[in-house]
Amino acid sequence: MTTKFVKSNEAVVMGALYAGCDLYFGYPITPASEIAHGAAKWFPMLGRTFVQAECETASVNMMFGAAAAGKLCMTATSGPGFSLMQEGISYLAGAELPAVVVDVNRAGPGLGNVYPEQSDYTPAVKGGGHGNYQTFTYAPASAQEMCDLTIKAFQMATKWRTPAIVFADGLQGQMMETVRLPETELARPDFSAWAAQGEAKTRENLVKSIFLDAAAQEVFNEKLQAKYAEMAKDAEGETYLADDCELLIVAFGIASRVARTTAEACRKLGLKVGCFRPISLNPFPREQLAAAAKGRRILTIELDAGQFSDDVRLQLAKAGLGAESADVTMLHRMGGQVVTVDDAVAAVRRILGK
Amino acid sequence: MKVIEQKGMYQRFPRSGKDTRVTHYCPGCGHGIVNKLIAECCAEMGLQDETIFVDPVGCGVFTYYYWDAAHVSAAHGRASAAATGVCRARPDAVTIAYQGDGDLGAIGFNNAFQAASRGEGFGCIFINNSLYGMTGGQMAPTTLEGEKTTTTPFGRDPALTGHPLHVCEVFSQLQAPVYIARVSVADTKRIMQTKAAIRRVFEIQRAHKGYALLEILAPCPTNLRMDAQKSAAFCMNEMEREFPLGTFRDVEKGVGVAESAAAVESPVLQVKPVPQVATCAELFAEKNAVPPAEDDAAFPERRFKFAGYGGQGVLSLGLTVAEAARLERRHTLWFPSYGPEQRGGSANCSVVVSGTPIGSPAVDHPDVLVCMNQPAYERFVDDMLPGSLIIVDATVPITKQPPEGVRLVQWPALKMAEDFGVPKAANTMMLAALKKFGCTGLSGENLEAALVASFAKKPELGVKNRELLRKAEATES
Amino acid sequence: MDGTEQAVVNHPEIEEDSCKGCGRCVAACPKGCLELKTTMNKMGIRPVGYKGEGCIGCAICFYNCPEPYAIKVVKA
Repeated sequence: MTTKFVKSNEAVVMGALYAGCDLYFGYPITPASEIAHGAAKWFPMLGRTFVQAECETASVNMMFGAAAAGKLCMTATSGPGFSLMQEGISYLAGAELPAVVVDVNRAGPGLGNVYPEQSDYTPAVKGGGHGNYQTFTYAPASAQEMCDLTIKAFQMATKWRTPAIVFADGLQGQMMETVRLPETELARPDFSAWAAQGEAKTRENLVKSIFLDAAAQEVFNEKLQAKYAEMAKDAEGETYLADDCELLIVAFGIASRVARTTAEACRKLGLKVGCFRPISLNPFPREQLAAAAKGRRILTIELDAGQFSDDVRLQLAKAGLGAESADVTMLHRMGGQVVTVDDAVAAVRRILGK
Repeated sequence: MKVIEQKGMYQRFPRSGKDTRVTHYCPGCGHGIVNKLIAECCAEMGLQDETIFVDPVGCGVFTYYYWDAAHVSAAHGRASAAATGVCRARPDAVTIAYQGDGDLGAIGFNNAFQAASRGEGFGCIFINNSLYGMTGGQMAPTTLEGEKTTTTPFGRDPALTGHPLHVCEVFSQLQAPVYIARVSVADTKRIMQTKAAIRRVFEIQRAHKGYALLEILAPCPTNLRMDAQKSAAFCMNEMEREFPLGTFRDVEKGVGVAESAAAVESPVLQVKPVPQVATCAELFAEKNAVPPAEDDAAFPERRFKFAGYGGQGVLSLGLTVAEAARLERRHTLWFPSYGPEQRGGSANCSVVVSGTPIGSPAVDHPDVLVCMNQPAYERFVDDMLPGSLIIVDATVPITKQPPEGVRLVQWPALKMAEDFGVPKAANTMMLAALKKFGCTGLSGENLEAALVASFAKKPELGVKNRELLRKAEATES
Repeated sequence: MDGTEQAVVNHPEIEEDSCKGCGRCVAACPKGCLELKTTMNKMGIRPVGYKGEGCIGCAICFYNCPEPYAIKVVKA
């Protein structure tokens, strides 16, 4: 087994290479640039392709071409670049193309700064471009998961013929941790049934997102929605110290690690606190959340303005937990600040009145 | 007997949603003529299996109804970017992008230009009809001065909207393209020249020679508000005056190739061959593999902050501690200041070492704070909690006292490094303090091993720093 | 040529319902042997027609035509 002490951003590239990603298209942006640096070095060493695009619009459309040609490909960016890519991600979804976009969220809006936020939640999780589409979105919380969930993102993108997002943040992108690399590389999927590969067997293939006829466009939309409904079975979440908890902290990504330390600190104070972490944000692990949240007070920890807690409320309500949904407290920071464990413990005490 | 008839197109066009063999183009449309030539060349050259067409948005959007080959329908303006992806993914295929003057000349100009500049392996066929067709006859970058369009109702005024964009001439400034030409489909002679030029584009792609651009002047009777003959005449008389026909470059034929100066060998600027490996496992093999961390609840978690001036080696000092922890099979996390923060001169990093999986990566209250300059000390001193330790360089004035119960050690790291004649080793001197005071919870052996490992590229420096570390540890109290 | 075989003469074959009547072929024909008809096709357009003689099989009409299947040329 190979373990490496690496930056999370580099772990993304390692995961992608093990997943069989053949092409990387990207435009540098802090705090995601190490992904491009790693890809620029390692993709060519394995005989694969790295292209530095002229902008993020180009990156995502290069991905459209490469995916349409039947190869696994990826890009990585941060907020401003992610915004530029939304049109292209919609096209990927509309043409049902597998591809992976990594968003290392920085603070916004506008130019903002390069420090961590989770404020791209809506475009990363709810389909940020035009039209009725979704992406498969993972939220890693460690360097190990930056590797593992990148691999899974390729698997889900392939399985569901959809763009997949790896949704991280600036803090995660920059930190170094030990990563265990996979034992084996994944085999390349065969996309010849629909891809334009420049071979006799794919001559009849057409990759497009246009349906000029309204009725046909509606049928296609219904097909997509049915696919997204089925995708829910691949939702993932995990609990920590949640079995007997009185209060459940719900958080994802880097905030989930603050949640974890908070729960441990609270337990030392005799407060029954547990955690729930969605690992995939879309599909959202609604049933798992509901099972952990039933009858509990709920605190979300997040690095946004409340987009995540709104979603948690929605998920709880959809799961039939109206009372819990109405009782969600949010603890958040914005602008590149991270919620401290001190603040989180204080919030727990306030809610529990202890 | 010979029959001259359409080749390379589907016999009927069911993709249009209708049972028809009539195109969607208007009567007299230049696209229609070009579409026929492209299909014919592709078929005559036997390239239908190999070819991947990248279709635009605009009047050319429906070429997939017609051309019997694989198609990728791109976003508006992005056919050249998508074609880049296609040809990079399928270098053995023949990739042809088809774009109009809104698609290529306006929204997607930079994508087309940069693809040409990179010398991507596709052929770009660019239809210039001096306006936007599909959206209703608006001004394009190629609209002629004085030309009336729906967005230049009084004729294009160069004082307000600039002059027509000469795509071939602009692209001719680039080094990478191997073929750049402008042709027209205004009359029979020009149509036959266009056919030869399209063939040339396919030949270049079949031989994978590089990027080719073919601009085709084409009449748009509908939006010019003219009949087929008058619009063809407009194309010939008005458009050609602005956009002269010709082959701007054909490298293989020696056309338009500038005398290049003899290449100058630079000892600095060199393209090196990429070392090749076969597998990921080979690429990421660890020479000194360490087994993963072992859970050990008895090991108390320690949080460190290392801060100072960039160049003092605080980031690598943190990394050395993290590496020592890894060697000791502890859970470890290292996190640097980054972005503009690191460019301003100050630098810091956080390290967490734990016996159990690490939660929050943020080091809000370090157990150990190492400060190598005054701003670092002043920035973090108030974060310290009772029982924690600050190691600060002895040159730093203690402008404010640490909180109650915090131990402060003034350690002459900078001076020692100077005295030893290795000013750059101040961080090693700090490591000596960490080792001496036993505040890392890590063995001295691993701290030393990590220090040596940090100089993997210059092993002699590793040995030297280990000596200095031991010396510093021994001489100072 | 074998006397029993019917002599093939140069001529265009026009698929009237595929013609949009733009007249480019009429203008381009070097022999002036094409004309727009007075009758309408299915689309309500006056399509091109062959005058019945004069074709030299040069296929200039085919290449000037924007439609793939409106006209083809048989050359002897």
